Amino acid sequence: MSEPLIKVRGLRKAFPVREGTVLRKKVGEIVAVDDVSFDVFEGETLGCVGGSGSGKSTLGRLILNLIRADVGSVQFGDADLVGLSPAEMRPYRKDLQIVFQDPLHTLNPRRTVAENVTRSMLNFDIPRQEARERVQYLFDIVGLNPAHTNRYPHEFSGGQCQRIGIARALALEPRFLFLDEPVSALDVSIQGQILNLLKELQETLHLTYLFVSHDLKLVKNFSDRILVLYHGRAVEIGGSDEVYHQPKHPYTRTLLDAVLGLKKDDAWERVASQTGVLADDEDLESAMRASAAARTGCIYSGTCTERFEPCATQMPELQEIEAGHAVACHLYEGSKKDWNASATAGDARREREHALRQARDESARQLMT
Amino acid sequence: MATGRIRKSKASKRSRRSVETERARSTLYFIWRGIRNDPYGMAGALIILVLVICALFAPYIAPYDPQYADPRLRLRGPGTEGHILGLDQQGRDILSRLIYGSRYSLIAGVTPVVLGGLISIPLGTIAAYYERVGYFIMRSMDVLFAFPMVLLAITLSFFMGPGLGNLIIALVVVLIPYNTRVVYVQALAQKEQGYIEAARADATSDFKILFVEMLPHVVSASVVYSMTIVGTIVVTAAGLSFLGLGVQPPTPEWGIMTSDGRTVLHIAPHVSTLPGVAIFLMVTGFNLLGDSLRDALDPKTRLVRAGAR
Repeated sequence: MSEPLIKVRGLRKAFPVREGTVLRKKVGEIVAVDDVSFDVFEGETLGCVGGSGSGKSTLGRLILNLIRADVGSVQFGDADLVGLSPAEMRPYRKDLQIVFQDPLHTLNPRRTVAENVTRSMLNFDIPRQEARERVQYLFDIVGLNPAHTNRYPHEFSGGQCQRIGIARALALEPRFLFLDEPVSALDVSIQGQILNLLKELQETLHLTYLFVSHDLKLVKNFSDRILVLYHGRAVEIGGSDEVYHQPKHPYTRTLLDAVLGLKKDDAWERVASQTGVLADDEDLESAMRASAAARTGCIYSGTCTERFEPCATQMPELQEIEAGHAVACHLYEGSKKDWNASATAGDARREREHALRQARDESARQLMT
Repeated sequence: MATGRIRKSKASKRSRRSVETERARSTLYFIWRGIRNDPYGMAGALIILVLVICALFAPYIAPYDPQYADPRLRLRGPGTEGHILGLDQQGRDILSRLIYGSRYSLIAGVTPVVLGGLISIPLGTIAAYYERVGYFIMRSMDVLFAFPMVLLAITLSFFMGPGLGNLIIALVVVLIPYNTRVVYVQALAQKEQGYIEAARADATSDFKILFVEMLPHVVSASVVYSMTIVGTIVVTAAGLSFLGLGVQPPTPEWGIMTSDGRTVLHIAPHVSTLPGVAIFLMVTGFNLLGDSLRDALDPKTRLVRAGAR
């Protein structure tokens, strides 16, 4: 692994929840990404996993500045991308591209696929003829028939559309691709083809990937490193083998237990959504309450089976416990003995849970008023 | 892995064999093919074509001058010698008046719709794309919605005075809120589509997103709606003329002819019904053409059509 291509520091994004029609008073907010920091190294694939609503997609869009971050920085080369206006962002659009989850909707159905793919090149003043020739080339490298460039998106299958989506992203020879669940909308048999294509392209075009998925096995096989997100926070980051075989954070462990124990791919998502805040009650209010709770303690403390005193009061920082393997959990701060002693005492634990619940309710009440 | 490789090599072999790319077709080609393959669309197009020819060449086609009156033959019904469609209460040839009237009805029906579309398409698209601006645009439209269509047209024509030009302006104003809302809803749905985000990731300017990416979707919705509203506009224009606010008699406008004839409806029903039938035909023509255009403009229905044939 070489130099970091992208350095993300303290990135945060909260979506306001508004009420009313005219004045649109802000009644609260949902924190999608909270204080996330990591590096993406040149030429690597960084996998990003997490349950629904954990902020995976938002994170990638923040890096590409498709959504404006509230605070933090995204260092790309010499520039900080956060807060750049569309005009200032323009030169970086060449280097940073995105492949979307739903291949059909990312192509304009009223325009031919060639028009969809050449759009970015025409935006950067590449002559039309040259752009057309490049589309032929791009179609060839993503495994499509270059004769079909004047067809419309609906004339292609889902897998073919995703190939076109990849061709579109590659049009300006980017250095970094944000892959937003690129295969989750596809048939399992097609998934492998697309992933192989992405791997081949990475080798030949020297691409760097941020690969987002809720499928842990897929991420493990596809990525060099894994970043685990829980409700907008980075809870663990490390080499994909380390994270997969020696998970440190209780959340990662729960996920892995589910996947390995049940030997079913969708179990991962089920558990992810069960432990996710939105799962119990998919209602704005409860999500806001959870956001408020996160401000006082560890966001995972509500569901964590191994919580102890500091979890309710302090958000653990992401810290390296082995070379290249960092975890945000109080279990790995200082000695582990204290935790073992207190975790076995049932009464004390129940009391702590009660206190925790009170603390969360209190902060929720504050937010509501 | 293996399948991916095989697919790829196949694709490149194919591309070498057939370097020729399939031809790109223009929108006009698709419109023509769509209408040609659709008998209803063809019928609509024919009706409109006949009307346009009548309007352009009225002096050559019409057997009589529209104002020439033969009092002896007053109120004679269709089939009278020399007057196929009969005569009105002043003894004027109805066929000639209908042919000349197509000019006014086409202008009064089509011009406001075209002008209204030119204004509401950008207005609705911008309203959908920029939330804050859109809020004010759409609330202003709601104010216009508060008045009944005809009442608003009457008020406007009253203040601007009679005449074809003022009539058209009044109808444009009346039409804008309806068309803008149709455009707005369509644009709002498109705004949430992934391809808009893809366009932004491609460094596409807002202007291009609005008027290159979104426009084709918005225009086809607006065209279909406009085609259906042509009829309403023709009738409203006729109503205004009847009230003395639009085109003035003795202009052979279909609306005026319909309302003039109502006084003799019980003795000579053809005087009023024949212009009514003409309006009906024109409206039908536009509706059929509109439906056909919608299908021709949508790449998805295009394929279905081609497959069916």
